[in-house]
Amino acid sequence: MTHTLHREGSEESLRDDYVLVITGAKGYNKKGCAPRLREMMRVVSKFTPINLGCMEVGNTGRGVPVSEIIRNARNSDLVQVVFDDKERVIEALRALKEADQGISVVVSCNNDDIVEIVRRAGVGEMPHTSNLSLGFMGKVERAASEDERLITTMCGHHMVSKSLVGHHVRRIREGSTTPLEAAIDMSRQCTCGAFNTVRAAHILEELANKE
Amino acid sequence: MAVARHGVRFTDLNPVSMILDYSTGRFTEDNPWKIDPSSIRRLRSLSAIIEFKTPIEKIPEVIGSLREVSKEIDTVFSIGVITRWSDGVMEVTSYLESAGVEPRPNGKHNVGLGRRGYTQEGS
Repeated sequence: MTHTLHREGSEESLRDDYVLVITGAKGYNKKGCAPRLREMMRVVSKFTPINLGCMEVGNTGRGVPVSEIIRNARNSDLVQVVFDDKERVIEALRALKEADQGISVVVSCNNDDIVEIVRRAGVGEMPHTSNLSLGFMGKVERAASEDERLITTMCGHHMVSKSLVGHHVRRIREGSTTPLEAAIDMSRQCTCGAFNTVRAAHILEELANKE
Repeated sequence: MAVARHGVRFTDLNPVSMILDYSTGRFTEDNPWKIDPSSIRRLRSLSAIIEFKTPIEKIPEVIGSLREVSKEIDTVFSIGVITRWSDGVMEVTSYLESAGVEPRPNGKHNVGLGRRGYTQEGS
């Protein structure tokens, strides 16, 4: 899955953006994995993620309670958990390792951070494998602008449109809404739960302050 | 078609692979739904991922072909590569450099907690 791969921004801008993707692997351990997904969600939810959920069940960014998400999780679900702090990611991974549920965990973050994260969490010396974004090709002029993509790429299914970014930046400039209120509104568009509301609020504030 | 010329191995069970002739990269009628290639071309999809494996040495030439064909593609597409680690570094690093490609500063990292046999499947 690549839906959390192409999140754009500078290394500095991405320092408050960590997404865990937890899912069973078809043919290996997907069938019957729902109780393990539920247990892993119980474990990570203790570390106060910004967003948590999965496509079919809903996510906290859309206002679905954690208890309901955990209760309704199924074998086929792909669980997303978003953090804005590296230390909490390390603690959550350490707890997942101790929980020993045998289900795959993928962490989206800056490449320079991942070795420190896995070592300090006691998960290993280095990741098993990494998926790198090599950018876009083709008619790139048809894509959203670089500023808009800072926000839109945080929903890898592109449920947050560039028009919504422009709309909220204008409203923030007018004083009709705050960056955090705007980010929360955008978060409701993202069905899988990968949207980072806190980072979005920071970016929206910067965009609104731009000339 | 551009990457098939390099003899890449398309990933089985990927929805796009299932409608491809692996040797040419062209759509084939020999797919699970028996849809003919002209009908496939009329389909519209929000997401289509072409997924394949290639020997690491071929990465620069495969990326070169993607660059060339990108001039004829009437939309935007993203590219990603999956790599193992060795001695604390990602194995593809030098091959991407020789292809003139700089990866984005962030990526997706499998931390290796998955195991076979913990559930009904694969046990």
